[in-house]
Amino acid sequence: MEISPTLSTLIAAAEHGDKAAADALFSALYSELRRLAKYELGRHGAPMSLSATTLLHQAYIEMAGNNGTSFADRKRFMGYAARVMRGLIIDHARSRSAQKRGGQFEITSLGAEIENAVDEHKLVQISQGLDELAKVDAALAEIVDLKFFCGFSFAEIAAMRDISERTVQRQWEKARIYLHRSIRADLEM
Amino acid sequence: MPALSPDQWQKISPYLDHALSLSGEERTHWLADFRSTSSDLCGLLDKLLEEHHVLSQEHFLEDQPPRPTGEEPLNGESLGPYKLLSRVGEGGMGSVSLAERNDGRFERQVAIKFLRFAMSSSAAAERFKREGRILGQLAHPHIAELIDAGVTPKGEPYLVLEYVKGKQIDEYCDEHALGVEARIELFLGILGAVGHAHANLVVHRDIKPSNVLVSADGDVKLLDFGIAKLLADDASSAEATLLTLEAGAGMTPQFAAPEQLTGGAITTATDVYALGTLLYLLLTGQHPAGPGPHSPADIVKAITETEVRLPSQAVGLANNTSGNFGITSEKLHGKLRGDLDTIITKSLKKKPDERYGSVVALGEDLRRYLKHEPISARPDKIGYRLQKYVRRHRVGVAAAAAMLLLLSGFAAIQAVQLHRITRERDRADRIAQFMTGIFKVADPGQKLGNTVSARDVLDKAAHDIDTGLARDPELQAQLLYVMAMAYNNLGLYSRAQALMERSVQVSTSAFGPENIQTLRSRQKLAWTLFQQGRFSEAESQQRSLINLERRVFGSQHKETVGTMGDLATTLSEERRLPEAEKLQRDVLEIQTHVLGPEAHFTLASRDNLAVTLLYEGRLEEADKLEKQTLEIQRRVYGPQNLTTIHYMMNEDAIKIEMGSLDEGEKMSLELLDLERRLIGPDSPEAADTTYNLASIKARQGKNDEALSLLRHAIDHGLLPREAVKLGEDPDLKALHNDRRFNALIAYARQMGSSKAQH
Repeated sequence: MEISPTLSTLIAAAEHGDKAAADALFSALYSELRRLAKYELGRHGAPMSLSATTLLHQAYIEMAGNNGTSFADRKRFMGYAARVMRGLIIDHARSRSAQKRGGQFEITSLGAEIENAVDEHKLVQISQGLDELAKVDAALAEIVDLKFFCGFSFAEIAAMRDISERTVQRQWEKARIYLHRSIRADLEM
Repeated sequence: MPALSPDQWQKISPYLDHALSLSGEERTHWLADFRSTSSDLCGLLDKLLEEHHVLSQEHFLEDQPPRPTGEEPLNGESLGPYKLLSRVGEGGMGSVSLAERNDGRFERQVAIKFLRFAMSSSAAAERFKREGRILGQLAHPHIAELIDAGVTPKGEPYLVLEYVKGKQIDEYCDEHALGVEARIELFLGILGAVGHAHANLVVHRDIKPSNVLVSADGDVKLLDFGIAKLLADDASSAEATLLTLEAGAGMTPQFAAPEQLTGGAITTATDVYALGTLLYLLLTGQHPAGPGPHSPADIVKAITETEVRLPSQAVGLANNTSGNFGITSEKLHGKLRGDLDTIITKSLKKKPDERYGSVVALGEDLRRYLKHEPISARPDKIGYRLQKYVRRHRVGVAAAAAMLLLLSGFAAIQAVQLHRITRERDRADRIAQFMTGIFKVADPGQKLGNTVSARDVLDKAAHDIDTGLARDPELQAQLLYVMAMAYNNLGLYSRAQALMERSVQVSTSAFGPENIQTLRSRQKLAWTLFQQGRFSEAESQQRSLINLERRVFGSQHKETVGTMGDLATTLSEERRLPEAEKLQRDVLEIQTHVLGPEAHFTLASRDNLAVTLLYEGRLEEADKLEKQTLEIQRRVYGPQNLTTIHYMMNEDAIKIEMGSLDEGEKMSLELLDLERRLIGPDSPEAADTTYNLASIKARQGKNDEALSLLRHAIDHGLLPREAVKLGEDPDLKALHNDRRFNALIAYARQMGSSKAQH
């Protein structure tokens, strides 16, 4: 058991398969990202869409600073944070679709509507497929979180993970194949 | 089309990589080759590449998902009279959202906890709501209020709770570097809350750090009262125990009591156990199972089977914890040792009826500790001062014949010197003579008794060994050993340890790690650790040594068995009594067989077994065994012998514990006479026995005699750390109403502090 689990010890414990630590890490990142998003929006004074990458960079700077530790590598942080960001985005999509359906929800201003946005149901499917993929090949799943959910470019991801851009691109294609197939398998069931 | 199995994916992955890295004609050629060599995989590969083609045309995953806008996803959703504001947490059992009443009646915010399971029937849902309301009536400043309970239209149960902003108690304590006392004060707040709930017949069942929050201004609140029960009561999960619930949530039942894991009755004693675990964690920085990480199986075994390591011993293991307390680990160790060890161990007894009868009783003992009053809990079975007394005079099995070993060590030196380096014979003789001198002074049997001058001689000799013999490592190792033993016999353990460590070092490089001299030095090194109360270190040294000795000497060899005996003694002081007893009996059997029933080592083992029986509270057996041992010892080795005195002291302790005050008195007087003559009138041994005699007199109601004996002990050799604790000794309780006793305590403190300055 860890006493006073700072983020970096939480990450270490989570990597050792400590489920409770992974949960704690998830909620810490979740609330931090949410807090930051709120703050950013408040600063701009008007509803707007936030860049997830900006949010993550900022979260990293704040959390690393707050804990007085520089995370051994930024990569691990980004990996976890990207996973959390996925959860945040899906929650957001859920509330949007709930509002569209009316239901028990109060209509609030939403910010810029994004046309052609992936719908909630599909997002959930992708997320489930990603969870499966993470069990088979965690690195691939992480690339999807970083690229699709957080909007990092191939070049950024390559730098973060210290591999070539070509490799990132190939892994991305592989992951897309896996996910596409798993979603179709889902539909056929 | 089925999804890919992990196995399929692993197999196909490298080929997919390769195919994707090629394009156009290159890929076509490669694929043709691949088809001809690996026909079973090519079908799958083709399909996946086709899939890739399709998804590219669909622009799969190329559109970005909607970005978070900062609006809370649940913002605005209503649940009864509450409006959800934001999700604040995600845990094993469900999520927690911040909410406020939307009818404008209350300003304050609440936390709504959604529990991640569905109510199986409307009857179950009704009961959930009803019991939730009963819990809601538990009003206490340190209990987070349960405001309401309900079930969403979807059948998801939820609880409306007071929203507590705070840190988990363990994190709070560490962040504020709270000391031991401050942590206990905080903990007492929790006890108050649990006591209140118990008085209302509600058991918490799930006390753990994440359920105890401390606000920024230091206010402590206990969350989730009785919720584990609410969950367990759901009709669909009649079998549900905390374990299955937690296991279902993928968590470790770290704070469960044994009966929660074995399916026993859940009572208020269950909360006492969990509180004990929490207090252990707060005061040592680690779980009673030891420093983690632990697998769930480890935790279950630790909770249901393993004897808890004393908290004071635990901090000896984790050197990094004490910084969080703002004191050194040594100081922390000192604070935990004794009363806090006793209080926590009592809370963590495996059998519910051996724990504190109520949280109130636990709280009272902690308050007594804070006020420096004697606590009610008795450490294990025997009186705590007596226990310390017994520990101080434990006789190592391997070190039993300390004097004999000194002699044989000395003889060995001479033999080695004469044999191997005859050219330096003169020097060897000179050293031998020098050592003989020291030996005589340090041996109480020599009746010289002047320990101060003995120490002076030793200090000088230790210095000479360091400077004069550096080029002769063999001799140096042996002399260091003999010197260390002499320091040990004077009770100067840390000095003995330093010398013994050097002896091991020098001997290992001179003779090798498997040489008998090296092994003996290691044996005694472990024993000096034991004598300083550093049991866990002693234990691990002894265990590794036994393995080595088994290989070098064989498993029935005197040395091997001697170390096993020492290990048993260590286990006994660690209060792992059944383990200790079993090992002691094994050792005794081998020794009786190999060395004979009257051998020095055999008797030492018998004495040790008697002490373990004493700790177990099996007084009759202990008494019988020690009596026999003493009889043989006296007959074979004579009454005027240091080891005989130690056995007598143990027998004395057993008598006192049995309440045979007259016999104890007789034994004490006899002992006192021996100690004064053989060890010295100001020796700690004589002072201890004087103290024992005083406690007997106090219990007999003879205050005058008790007080004058105590005064005598303080003036003549009673250790200052004992003297300053007179007021806490339950054995002297009878004196508490006597005003002269307070004066004596003040006197003892004064003497203690003036001695400490020297």
